[in-house]
Amino acid sequence: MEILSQLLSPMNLLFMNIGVCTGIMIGVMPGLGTNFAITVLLTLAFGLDKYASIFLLLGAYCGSMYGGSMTAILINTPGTTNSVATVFDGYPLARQGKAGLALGVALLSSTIGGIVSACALLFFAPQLAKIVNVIASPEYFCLCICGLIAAVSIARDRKIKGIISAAIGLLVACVGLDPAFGSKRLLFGIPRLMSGLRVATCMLGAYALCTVLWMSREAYENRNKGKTELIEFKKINFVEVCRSTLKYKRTLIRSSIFGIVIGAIPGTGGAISAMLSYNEARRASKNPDEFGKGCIEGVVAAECGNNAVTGATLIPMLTMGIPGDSAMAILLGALTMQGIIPGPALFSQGSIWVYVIMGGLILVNIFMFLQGAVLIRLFANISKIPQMIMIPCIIVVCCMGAFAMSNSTFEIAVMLFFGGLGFIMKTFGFPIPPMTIAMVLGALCETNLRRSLILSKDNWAIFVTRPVSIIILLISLLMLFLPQIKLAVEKLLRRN
Amino acid sequence: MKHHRGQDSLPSGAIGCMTMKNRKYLKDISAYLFLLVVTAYMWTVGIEKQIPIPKVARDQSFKPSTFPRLCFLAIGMFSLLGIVISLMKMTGSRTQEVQNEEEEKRPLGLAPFIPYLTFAAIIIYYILFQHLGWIISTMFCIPLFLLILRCRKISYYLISYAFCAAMYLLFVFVLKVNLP
Repeated sequence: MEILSQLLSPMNLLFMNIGVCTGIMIGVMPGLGTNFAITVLLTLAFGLDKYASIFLLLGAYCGSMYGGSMTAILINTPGTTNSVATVFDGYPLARQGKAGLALGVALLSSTIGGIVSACALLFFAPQLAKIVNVIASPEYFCLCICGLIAAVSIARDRKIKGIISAAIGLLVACVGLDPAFGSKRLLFGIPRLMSGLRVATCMLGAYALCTVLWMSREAYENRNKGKTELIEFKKINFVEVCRSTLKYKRTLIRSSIFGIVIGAIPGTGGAISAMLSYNEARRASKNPDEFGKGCIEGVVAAECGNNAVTGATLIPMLTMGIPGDSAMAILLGALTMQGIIPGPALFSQGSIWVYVIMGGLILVNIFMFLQGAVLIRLFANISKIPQMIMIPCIIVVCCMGAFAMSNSTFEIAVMLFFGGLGFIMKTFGFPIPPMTIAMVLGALCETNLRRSLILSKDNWAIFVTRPVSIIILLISLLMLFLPQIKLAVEKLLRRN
Repeated sequence: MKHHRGQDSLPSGAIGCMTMKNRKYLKDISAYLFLLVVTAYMWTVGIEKQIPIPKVARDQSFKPSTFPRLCFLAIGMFSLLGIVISLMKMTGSRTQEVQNEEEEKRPLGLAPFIPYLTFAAIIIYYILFQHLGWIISTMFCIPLFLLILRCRKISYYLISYAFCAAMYLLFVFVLKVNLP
């Protein structure tokens, strides 16, 4: 009853909608992705009621995942990486005068994928939490390492830089007081750092401010360019949209499963899921030649696949406290800010939190559909907003948000530091997600390493002698070296 | 202009591409070297200064400095590995490379410096925010941000002001933030 009352409270519903709306708007703008949407809204989240703030961020997460598909269909430019596969058939459909149909199909498929994923979260998360509840510190430490390696493996061909980035993130997590002995660590003469760094402020700098700095050059170079031209579309006929989408039930089921499985694996994400779903739909189709030329099934597969990760990515985050990707790391930071520590205890202590989040995710997807259906033309026009206007607005919002986190300008200084650091890292090709994920995992990682070593009397072999931890470590190594293993296998096969 | 063996057989695009690659490796090496120097300093002097060990922790094997040390160790080791790999890749590509003395065409104008100028403007905004408060600093800095981007449209200035005013109302009256 309490869960329902929280879910249906007018304030929570309002913030869910604000989150979805802002998320779609940010997703529509090329160059600004899911991480940006969540970090920018994080500035508002701190002052809200804890449920409203999480719904706001969940709305932004799902909305931005879907938002990218609009520009993919209308201007052949995916708003986010998750919508790359949507371009293949979405844009040709728009060129054929079926932009409205493509947008409608993308919206409905995204909603279906999102709802199926939220249901999977509702079903699988409590089961997984029961298993996680019985694992000990060495396994937990290995899980943290697995999460870090997953973050590094996102970096693909920049793994060394990814590892260094993760190590920097772990160091950032060390700033403040030591959890066991209370001694000062890495304060560099700044007493304000005694209470540690707020992950939310660091992320605001590393994602939002860094994006603005990166965007400023682009805005300067494009200052004389005209407005973005959109392909015009007529009013969407939702009967036709439903008929066209539900015709591909198998593709919807398959893409949802792909999304759930891929989303639950740390270090993956919507882009991989969308691409795999698209390829699988083409492989299984009776008319594979139609793909890439304006095939509705292609849009269904890609959009259902990318939004089906939204609920699944929450599974490792809620059950183990390990964020699968950078968006989850930001959400985890927001949860911690509200005093909620995700992990198996959240389930075993009978907290209504997790169930409110799960139910909220289903509602968010429904609102995403309703907003998309009513405001699609408005959202599409958002992509016409010049970057030049966005830059000062984002800077001001970021500074206000950072200030509001503790009513102090010190937070703005921290944000500036991480904005600069993020920009330098990006300039030198160091990926930012491993650093932010490590910032979140740092404390958990250190505590469990300490406990494990006490348990084993300083024997580091504890991590390779326990069956579960060795399995987790092997999976981590496999994740790290998968491309090399794949290459070696391909070479071997070619030789034979 | 110096000509190396094999230059004639290589298209000019490939030469440009290779010098670009070498520049990238040099950039990488400089970043790794910087990290290595920082790590060496922290490992030898910095950690002892920054992480004082309390008496109770002195006989413990897992001291407050253990985890940061492990992190620095990882940074140092992988920076070293990065340097070795970059050097190997660089020498590998040099075997066929030609020293093209003609400078590649670089983007002219202010464009590469715009992010740095923007960052400097944000620092100015931060200082003004601290001393003069939100309203005056925002009124002063929005034109500064837009001028750096060479914005000449008055409407953009007005839209930015309107958006910031809306944000002010949201933060002050809805979220109850006491902006200075």
